[in-house]
Amino acid sequence: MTDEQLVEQMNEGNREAFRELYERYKKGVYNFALRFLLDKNAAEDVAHDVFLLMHDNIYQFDVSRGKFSTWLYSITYHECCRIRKRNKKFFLLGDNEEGIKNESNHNYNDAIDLERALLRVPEKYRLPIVMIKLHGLTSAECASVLGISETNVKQRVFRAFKMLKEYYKI
Amino acid sequence: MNCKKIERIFIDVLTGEASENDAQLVQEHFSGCSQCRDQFMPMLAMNKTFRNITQHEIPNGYDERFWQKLSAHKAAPELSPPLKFMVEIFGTNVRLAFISIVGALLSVFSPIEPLLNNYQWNIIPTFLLTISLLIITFIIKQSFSWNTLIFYRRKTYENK
Repeated sequence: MTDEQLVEQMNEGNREAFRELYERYKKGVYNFALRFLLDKNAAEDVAHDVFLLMHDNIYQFDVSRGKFSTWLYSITYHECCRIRKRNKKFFLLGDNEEGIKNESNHNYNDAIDLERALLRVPEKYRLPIVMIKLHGLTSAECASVLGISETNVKQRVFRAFKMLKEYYKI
Repeated sequence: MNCKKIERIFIDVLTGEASENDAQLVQEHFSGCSQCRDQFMPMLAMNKTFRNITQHEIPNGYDERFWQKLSAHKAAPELSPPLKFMVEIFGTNVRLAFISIVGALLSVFSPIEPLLNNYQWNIIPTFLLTISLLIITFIIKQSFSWNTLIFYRRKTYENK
């Protein structure tokens, strides 16, 4: 059953549909928030709030305007922005451009190492790459979540790759 | 094809939106241009590694905490109509507009103006009153917890 069909069922009062959507996206939303906020507790709080908001506002989802996942990640993004505004301490690491320069040798073929490097990329460039490469959104969907143009998204992804390359000193 | 055009196509390759033909064009260009190859090949390797990045596991008790939150959220009392109205009108922009209007009115019709009878001294109490209003409206806004606010926004699908 597709997400959109589940949403339809949820709007008809099916509680199991909400549970199913929660099960499908709980990990994705948590991971997205974690990679944005770089804090496990904050990410969990955001993820929970996102599902509460989804529960309350599901009737606002309009299938003609895009996929359900894009809508949900859009809520997650705005929730993360709200939390970040309150607590700027979470973002010291991610927003530090200097942090991307690293002295030790790393291997970009190692997924764990690459993810660690990714967390050092400033948020502005990290988010598009996280959405596209790790959460399967397209450039257009990412652009609609971030409220920027598709070209801008692509440029940010490219810049993020350049930063990662710089991190590995290739 | 020149390097600048290849860079544009290469970005599509990175985002996974390039056609097979475009990917082929990039590979062909790399075989003849060492500068682009050296610059972009590591990015291609990283791009492949991204597929191996797995999602973090959710913390222990994550689900239990969420269902508890949802139950508490559903059980939260509905706001009374006057409070709903307050939540509705006290958005940041409305607050600022409200303060500006009250501040402007006070500067013209200050209650203590006749006492002071001096425009220069009238500015200070007006300024203080405006600041007080700003603080009061901020406290009102903050006094509503996030849960109360999302409860207000809620349209319970169970009630449909």
